Amino acid sequence: MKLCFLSGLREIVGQEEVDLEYEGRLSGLLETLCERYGHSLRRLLLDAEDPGRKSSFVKILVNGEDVGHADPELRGEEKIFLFLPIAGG
Amino acid sequence: MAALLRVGYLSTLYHTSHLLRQLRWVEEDLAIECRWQMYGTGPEMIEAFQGLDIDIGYIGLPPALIGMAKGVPLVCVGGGHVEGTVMVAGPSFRTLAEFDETHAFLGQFRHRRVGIPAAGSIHDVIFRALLMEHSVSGVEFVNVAWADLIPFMLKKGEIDAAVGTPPLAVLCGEECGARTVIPPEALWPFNPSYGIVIRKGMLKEEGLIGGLLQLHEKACNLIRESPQRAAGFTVSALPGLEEGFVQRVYAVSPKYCASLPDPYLEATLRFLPVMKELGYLSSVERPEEIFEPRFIEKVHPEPHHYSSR
Repeated sequence: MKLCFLSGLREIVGQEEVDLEYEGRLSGLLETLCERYGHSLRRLLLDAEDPGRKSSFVKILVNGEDVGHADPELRGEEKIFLFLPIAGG
Repeated sequence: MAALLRVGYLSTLYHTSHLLRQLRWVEEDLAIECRWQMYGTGPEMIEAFQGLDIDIGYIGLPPALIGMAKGVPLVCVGGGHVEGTVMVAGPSFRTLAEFDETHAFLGQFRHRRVGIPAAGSIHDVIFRALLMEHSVSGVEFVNVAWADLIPFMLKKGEIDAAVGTPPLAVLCGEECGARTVIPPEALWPFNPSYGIVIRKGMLKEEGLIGGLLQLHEKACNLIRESPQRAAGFTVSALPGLEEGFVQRVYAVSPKYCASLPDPYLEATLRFLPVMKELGYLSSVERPEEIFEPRFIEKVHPEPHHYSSR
């Protein structure tokens, strides 16, 4: 899968695009990313009070779809955007 | 009084929603629980109003007009900001100021792709209206659900230019070296970039609406008079964001006020015939009641602050 880290997250990850082999739930992917990139990413990606849950700060689009609070199964071929929404609409 | 207030908001950093949410003013001053729901664009928020998911929204007036024309019972009770649409493009494009006239400027974008929030958003309507006014065709619109993708698309060469909010313009400048080719003051003077829109049924909650607008007015004043302090509060709500970035965003179009003066109302009404011509409205008839200014007139009786810092 291809991960694209945009505003607010790219600086922590150190690059904008990352190719990763992963199959499983989105929540597992987020945990994998937090282990790889550390506390700075964890405090943005995961809810401080419920660490198994995505935080409300970050928006995640899987193949263009906003996942909201869902925890979809990923097949490993997705393009996923992760960002702190700040650009308005 | 309602037990729970459901508020729709956009990620646009200078909307007072970010301050009210972070500082919990509504919960503490009005003793009411708030559920804040972020939307990518104004049209998406209108769908939420239609689905009875929210009671109040921070939204640009064109999508609100589309909702009203479809029969969604909405009314605007407060302002917030004017002139919040900017156009940016890569360094190979010249700015509007570098041309003698607008038609030639816009001609640069024929057969080019312009990234822009959803169809029916204020940015989309303003830019389509500009192209129509100057009889420029052949510009390809790439409407996106989340404007945060636009700097990425610019970098990848998927689009050549973008139209959107001041935060988008700052992001495109800092991440992609894009520059402002049309500044906010040159696009639809006094355009109502956002206001406070409520479900009409909320009008009977006079104390709640008046209280909310008082807090909104206080937050507008904070952004206008103490941008550094306001930026600090905003950053505390959004880890990963720099205070300096928020201040640069505030400075792009520093026209923050909660009032609904005549120029705000007139600029909104000027959208009606244009949106009809663009196909967003089926008639130019003014929706029954777009504004209900009585609450904000009590909260903000003095002259508006949209033109001053």
